[in-house]
Amino acid sequence: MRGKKPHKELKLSVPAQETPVDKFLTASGTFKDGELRLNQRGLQLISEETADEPQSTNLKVEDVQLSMDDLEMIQVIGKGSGGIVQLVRHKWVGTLYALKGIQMNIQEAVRKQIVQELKINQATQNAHIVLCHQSFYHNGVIYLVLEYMDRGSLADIIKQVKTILEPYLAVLCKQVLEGLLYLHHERHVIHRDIKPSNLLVNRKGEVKITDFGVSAVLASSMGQRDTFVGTYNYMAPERISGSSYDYKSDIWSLGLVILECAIGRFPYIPSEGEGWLSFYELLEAIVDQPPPSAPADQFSPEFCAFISSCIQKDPAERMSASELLNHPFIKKFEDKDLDLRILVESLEPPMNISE
Amino acid sequence: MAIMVDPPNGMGNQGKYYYSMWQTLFEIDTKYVPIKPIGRGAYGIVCSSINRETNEKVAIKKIHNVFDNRVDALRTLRELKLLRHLRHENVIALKDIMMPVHRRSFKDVYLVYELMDTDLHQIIKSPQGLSNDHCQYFLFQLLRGLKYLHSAEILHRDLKPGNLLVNANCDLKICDFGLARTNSSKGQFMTEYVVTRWYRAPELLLCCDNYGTSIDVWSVGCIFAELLGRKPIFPGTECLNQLKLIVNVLGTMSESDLEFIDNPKARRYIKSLPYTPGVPLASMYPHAHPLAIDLLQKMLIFDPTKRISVTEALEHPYMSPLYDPSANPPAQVPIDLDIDENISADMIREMMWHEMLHYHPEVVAAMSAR
Repeated sequence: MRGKKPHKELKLSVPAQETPVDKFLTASGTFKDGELRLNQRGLQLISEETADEPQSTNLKVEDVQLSMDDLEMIQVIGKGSGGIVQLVRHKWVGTLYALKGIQMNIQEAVRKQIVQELKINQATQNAHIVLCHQSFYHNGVIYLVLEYMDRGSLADIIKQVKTILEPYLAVLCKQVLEGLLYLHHERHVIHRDIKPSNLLVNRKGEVKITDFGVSAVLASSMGQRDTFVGTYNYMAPERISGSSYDYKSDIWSLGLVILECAIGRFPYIPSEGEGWLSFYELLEAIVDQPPPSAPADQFSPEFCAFISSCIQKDPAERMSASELLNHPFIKKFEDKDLDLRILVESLEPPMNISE
Repeated sequence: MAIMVDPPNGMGNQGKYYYSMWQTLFEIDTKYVPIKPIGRGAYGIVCSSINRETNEKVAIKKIHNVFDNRVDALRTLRELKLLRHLRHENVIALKDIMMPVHRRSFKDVYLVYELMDTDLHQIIKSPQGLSNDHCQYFLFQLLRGLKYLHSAEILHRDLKPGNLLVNANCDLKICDFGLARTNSSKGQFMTEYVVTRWYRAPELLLCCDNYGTSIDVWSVGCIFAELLGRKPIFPGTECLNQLKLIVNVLGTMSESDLEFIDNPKARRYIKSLPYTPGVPLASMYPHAHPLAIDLLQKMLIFDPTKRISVTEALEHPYMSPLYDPSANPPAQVPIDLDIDENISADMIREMMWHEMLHYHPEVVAAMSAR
């Protein structure tokens, strides 16, 4: 039955089976890498001198009150290929959080990236970035305890309202730009995936950026299995064509998002309603055609100029986050005491489960 | 390493034992004794075990909360349906699926496979030396297993080193059939994950609607190159970057090489890439056997209609020390793998239950007795 075999017997010295697991997982279930320890009790950074005596001194005071056992599950609020998100409540304090669980990927390269991002996450503090309060490792899953944004995402909002008026867009833009300014100039991070579903909103009308850092790395560990649908919609032309890219690529994405909110459809969908462009038609439109623009007969000159400043195909001609914060469109509404609370409160909360 | 523990909430189920391994709870049939976690597997923990009834070593894979992710649930169901029918020495055997206690509400699935020592990904990145004989034998077994699959009109669609399990004696088995399809399946390309990007054939990257067995051959070529070079040949960061890396090695395509691309925009995109003369495979793999280079070259043909087939590859001179045509019979009749992509989670669960019954005639008998 078997085919002919080579004359000499072939052998492999099989790598020790325990190595893949032993290298990063202790017998008590702690994920470890260098100075980082992650388990059911949370994240710790153990300094070299005290490696033999784990201390909790590195824990933020707030985090001492947070552990997996303290959280009770209310319901699943999000599902995707990157993992699931559950609404959870702190049993003693009553605070609501979004708990994102992502299956641990044991590939070494991905693990290294996860470790790096977990460290960065710990230090990230900005009013316009979704806060990661704590992370855990339990039962083969990495959990992130995220700030709960109770009105869902911008994608949920534009599903209901179709278009958003310029004054609200200015307020929205200002907040996202402040978040991007922080990411670009203080954290030196490119988000890489600015899109409506990654801009979350709460009932106070605050807008915050999510799914960067550890969330994005974890999600991208599935990324080798990317689908075409949606992958390139908000991607800057220089990135699509394979050129080097920098912070300005996030600005392009933001410009498309804002234009989409203004006109009520993704800017590269034909207005005649032919349906979605095929993948390569979309690529050609983004890379080879002039960028979309806001119709001058429907929008103010300041808004049209703002959109144009974001979606220049040449990144050198695109404005930066700090420059855009001083744009006339943003300045125009700054003293009018506007916020998104009114808009947000008039809408239905997002569906319990979205995909 | 595997610690027997009390059942959760103090309530155990008859016929099950509970073990904790690396903080993961395993609820498994009493005839299995876990040894230790192996850690392989894209989803959750895999542990080696002994079947006490047969004294056979097996690998138990726990898929945790299988229905949380619809894509993964469908993948699991598809793999179960397919593996039940496949019997070949180069295809992993699914020996058992443990019956859950609660038919209508179970969340975890425990799959029992034959135990292999490691996978090709681990071998490639380890210091283990690989001679021409190793590469030749691995490639032969992969092609032989693939010939069996293709004779049943099964496309694997996710061949990569991590999905090729090997033993210390160099036996090789193909695993992970979650993305497999029959050749006649309707194209559902745009809504589904297909081949892991680095091993993805040009016709997939270019959105061609009608792809066939040749996509697996491309993946084999990439794996073969990785055995020779000990690193991926086309490690693309994104789909378009993937295409660029391929064109950089193969060189700019002639007009006739692009005729298979039925999407005119995709064809235009390929033509827009800057000219490149390509890189000879012989210079990329200077120590490889000349016949290996020749076969690799025939596998990594851009146009799928000109790419070597699995049978032709087995007949290539590089495989002649190993290939015996009379010893490789085809599979049985084509297997029905079509599953309605829109079925509910409860229906997926029910269909999984029915797959499990095939491994548990005693349950079927008990049901008949009621």
